[in-house]
Amino acid sequence: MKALKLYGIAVSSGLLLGALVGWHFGRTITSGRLAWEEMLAADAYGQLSYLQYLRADSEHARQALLGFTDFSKSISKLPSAKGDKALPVDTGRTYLRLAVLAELAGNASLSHEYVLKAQETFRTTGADIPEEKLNQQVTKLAEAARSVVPPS
Amino acid sequence: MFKKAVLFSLLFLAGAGSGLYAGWKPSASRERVREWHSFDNPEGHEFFKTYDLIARLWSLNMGSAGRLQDPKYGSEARREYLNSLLDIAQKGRPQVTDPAVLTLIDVETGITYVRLAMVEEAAGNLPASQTWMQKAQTTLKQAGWKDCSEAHLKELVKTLNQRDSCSRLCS
Repeated sequence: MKALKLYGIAVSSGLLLGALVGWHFGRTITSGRLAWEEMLAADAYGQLSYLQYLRADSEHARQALLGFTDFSKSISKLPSAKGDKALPVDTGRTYLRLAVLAELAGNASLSHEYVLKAQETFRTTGADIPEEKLNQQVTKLAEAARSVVPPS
Repeated sequence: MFKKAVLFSLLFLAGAGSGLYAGWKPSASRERVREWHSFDNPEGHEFFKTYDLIARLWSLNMGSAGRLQDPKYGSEARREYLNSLLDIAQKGRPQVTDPAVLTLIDVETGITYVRLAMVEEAAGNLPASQTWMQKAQTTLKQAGWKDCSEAHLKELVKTLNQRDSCSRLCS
């Protein structure tokens, strides 16, 4: 009877300890995995849309960049995205690329709108970049794009 | 006494193993529920499909780039891996409706075709290489690419292989 009691203690203490360790690691490893998946998806969309910006015609490039900004808005609602510092930076850069495309299309007001969105997005990371500096960046990128593809 | 101690340890370990499983399962699923609970609507489901497909494709993309850079992988292993990416893209495509995402899947598919063309060329299978290259050119043209020349695509894929074999996630 005494031995049976002892074995019962062995099983229940093992069970309790295992459950506590399992709970802790299940939570830690799963949240790490979710954060990895989030970074992977954000990186994938960001890189592919940037590739479109560099290689595709302006319509496809614009579609891809806008797609990324929408995707980024949704992804940032995920708890796993809280620690992703690269996501707002990539989103801000995407708005600047959209501003470049608008500038190249001769739509200055839309370009300005995107610059303001970029500024707002960078601000969420704690970086307060003056509008003037972002405008200079857009002009520089637009000039570089113009020199690669001369107007027809 | 020794036998009892062994039995005690074994029972403790058996209990700990079951406990580990019993603790792991609910805490892992709780984390997943917490992650996705605000997406429990049709729009959220659509987003999840895109998210999942894009993440899987990118993971395979990085794996492909790594295998193409690593000399220990032969043509057969590279071919097999690249085909698995095409398979995932083909199966995942009907689940996505957003045209912007569909175009990005085409871009990833087109790049994979170029990689396959380069694998076949290295293996001396020139007709197969040409077939893959033509498929790549057609796909990337549909995705709006301005320069779909063979030389340009090969050069670009070489750069992508170097970049994607260790993207920003590795650094």
